[in-house]
Amino acid sequence: ERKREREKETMGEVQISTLAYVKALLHAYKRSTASVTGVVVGKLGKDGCRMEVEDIFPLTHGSFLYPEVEMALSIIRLLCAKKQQVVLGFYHGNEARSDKSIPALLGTLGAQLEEKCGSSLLLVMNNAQLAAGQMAFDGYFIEKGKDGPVEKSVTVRFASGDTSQVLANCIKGGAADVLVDYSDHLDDLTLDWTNASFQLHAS
Amino acid sequence: PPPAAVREYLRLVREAKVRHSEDVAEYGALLLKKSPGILPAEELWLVHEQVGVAALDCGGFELADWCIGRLDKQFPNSVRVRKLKGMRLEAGGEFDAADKLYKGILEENQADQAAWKRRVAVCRGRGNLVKATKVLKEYLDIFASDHEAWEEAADLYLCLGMHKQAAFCQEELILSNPQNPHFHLQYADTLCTLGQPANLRTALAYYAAALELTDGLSVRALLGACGAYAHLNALKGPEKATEEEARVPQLAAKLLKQLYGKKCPAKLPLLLELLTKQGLHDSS
Repeated sequence: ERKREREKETMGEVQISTLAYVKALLHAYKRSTASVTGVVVGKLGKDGCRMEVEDIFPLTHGSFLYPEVEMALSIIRLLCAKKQQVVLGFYHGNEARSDKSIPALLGTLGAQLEEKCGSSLLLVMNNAQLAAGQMAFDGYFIEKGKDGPVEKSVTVRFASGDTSQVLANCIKGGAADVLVDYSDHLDDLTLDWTNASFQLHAS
Repeated sequence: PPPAAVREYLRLVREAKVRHSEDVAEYGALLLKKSPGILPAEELWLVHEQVGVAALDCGGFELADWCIGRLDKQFPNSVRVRKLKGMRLEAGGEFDAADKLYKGILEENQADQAAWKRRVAVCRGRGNLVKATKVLKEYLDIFASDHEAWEEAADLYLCLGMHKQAAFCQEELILSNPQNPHFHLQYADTLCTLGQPANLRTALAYYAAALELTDGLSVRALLGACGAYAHLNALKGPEKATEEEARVPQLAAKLLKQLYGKKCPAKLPLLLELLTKQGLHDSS
């Protein structure tokens, strides 16, 4: 634990927008009996803020395999290019409530992303923190190490003070029902996995 | 909603084996408490069990206890009700007590498949996936033809990132259910995850099989075939994809363009960019 705290001091921090946070957690809420995985996009930051997560794309629920992720990532890169955003990494919530570990395949994907783009972020759901009303994600930067992916802890902060309240409003308003992930789209092409018409419920 | 509609809904959920626990618990409870008379005897107790399990799935302990209590009164000393009590313990996080209960059932009857499966569920509930695979392996040594169990094993291995072991389970599923495209598809995806040219080539064959079984409509298989081909085509030397190997992916690309054009034309340009990168679309 102390090693992680020391790591965090040197790593800078990551900010997450309300839109990105709410969409990711709605994905987890909608698929509460399975694990969830998605891609986080945004901008590389400056000064102490290493990355600004602006949006997410929900990918799958349940165990995922490489072909699904690879295809979606290719398309997401094309979409990001149009908005001057970059793929920053992934978010993931494990199936079991107390599990905040990083699945092996995700670590590998993260390391591949880092090799390609120079930096890679993993946001892993921590349900104890969520239940306490705090930031629901543990943040890690992933690097390719000699013997496999190496993860370093990084602090994740809300970009805005009312994020938790907006999330609560969205859940009450049934926003999770309309959220679509890439896996849903593959089963029914008419569903929009980019969730282009998604709206936050502010009040 | 009218009781007859709820009754039909519950029946459909049982048949389709879907997990709509919140709705089943809410509407099932209404049916049981307000209009139980419309259910004939056998169905009445089946619905009690169904609603009880659904209640456990969404933390409705009061409702679950009510259902289990009534089942216990109706069927004293029933092993099936004991299993439900075990699930109640699991839902409350009392995994040790639940496991003890299931082991007790198995001591009386080693062939009680439900008790075996609950033991696997206990391991999974605790987050001990490795132990879950070990108990499941013991079960499969006895009941090797239970394909639901092979599916669970494959899923556990995938969660653990043990793709070779998952592939083995998926091979069993294909052998015992050769007409089910889902198993061919998952196997192909797993092979692609394992990587290496030989696996990619085998994956192409299984994507093709899935496409044959779905009349070319499985989007996952179409995309999978294109993806596997793109990797093979990017190789140099003798391992590079041959013209013969390009046939299925080229057809897949054509079918994908048709499907996207029909169902989500807004996303067609993105698909075309992707297929161009994969060498499967001529953008000129």
